[in-house]
Amino acid sequence: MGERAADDRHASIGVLICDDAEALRALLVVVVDLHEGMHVIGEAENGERAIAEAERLQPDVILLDMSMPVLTGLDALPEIKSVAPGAKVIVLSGFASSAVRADALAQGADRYLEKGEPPSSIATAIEEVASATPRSLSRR
Amino acid sequence: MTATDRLRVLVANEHLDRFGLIVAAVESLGHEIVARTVSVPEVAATTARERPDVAIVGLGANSDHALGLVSEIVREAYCPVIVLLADYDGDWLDEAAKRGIFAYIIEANAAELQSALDITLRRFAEVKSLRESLERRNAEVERERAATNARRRQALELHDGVVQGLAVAALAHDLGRHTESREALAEALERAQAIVSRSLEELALDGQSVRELIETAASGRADG
Repeated sequence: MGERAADDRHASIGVLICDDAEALRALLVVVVDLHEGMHVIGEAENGERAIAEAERLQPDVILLDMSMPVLTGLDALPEIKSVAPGAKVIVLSGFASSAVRADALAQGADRYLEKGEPPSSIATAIEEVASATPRSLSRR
Repeated sequence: MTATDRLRVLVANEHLDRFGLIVAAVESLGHEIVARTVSVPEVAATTARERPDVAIVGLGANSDHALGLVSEIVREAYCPVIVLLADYDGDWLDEAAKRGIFAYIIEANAAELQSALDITLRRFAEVKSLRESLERRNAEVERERAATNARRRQALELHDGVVQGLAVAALAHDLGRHTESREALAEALERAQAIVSRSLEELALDGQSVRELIETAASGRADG
């Protein structure tokens, strides 16, 4: 990798994808890697692995499923924020926003997205949370 | 007397002359004496060991010492406590009631004692029977609640699986991955069919006819 490429990679948003559905993880990798300015740095298939990978990789943004085995995304969230305080967390969930969004935000999520959003919305959300200040995040 | 009316009774009385009278009266009423003691302070420990339905405790004098015993017995006994007293003393009984005795009987002659024991134990047997009915009903409700929660959790897992499948299908479609999208849709459809099948089976078990169930499903689509 040349110096310029290394600099671009350094400036790019590093994303950790956490979802127990392998097919969905694979597609989210495609969504992230297709967009300029962001790249996938890791994956996790349950809440426990999400915490471990968040601590090890210190990602900029974490896409976090709520309903995962071993430890749910909701239960893992506070620990994730503790071990990776610089990471912004987007909860990407199959539950309707009205049902669990408030709980997710209360546990420390920066954004709540329902599964089924188009790739462009997911990418936009990643860019927005990565660049947002804590104050602007809390208003969403 | 039915099996449920027959009580397992502990008798305690430090006054030996009254002890035999009480035991005889209780037995003549058809109840079973499962434990007897002349040491009132031992009542709590004896109830823990013998697990009687009720303890009849003769306290003799209505003294502060007796009130202390009442407190200790009621606090530690594993069953309701009926107190036998030598004389009526309203203030003392008010205090004993506050400390939790189930009932009291004033010791008199043998006939009156037997009559009082009969009435008190009958009332107690009714309370015990009602309490057992309530406990059985509560246990039944708890079992039903647990079964309902288990069914809801299973349904939630199935529903979540459908949502996951549809989310994968939508994302794959948006990314132009039509084969993956089609596969995910087929999987979600299979899960959705499993939900409908399970619901039909549960409703059929409740006695609803297939015709009613088909009409219900169709009316749901019309409402939607």
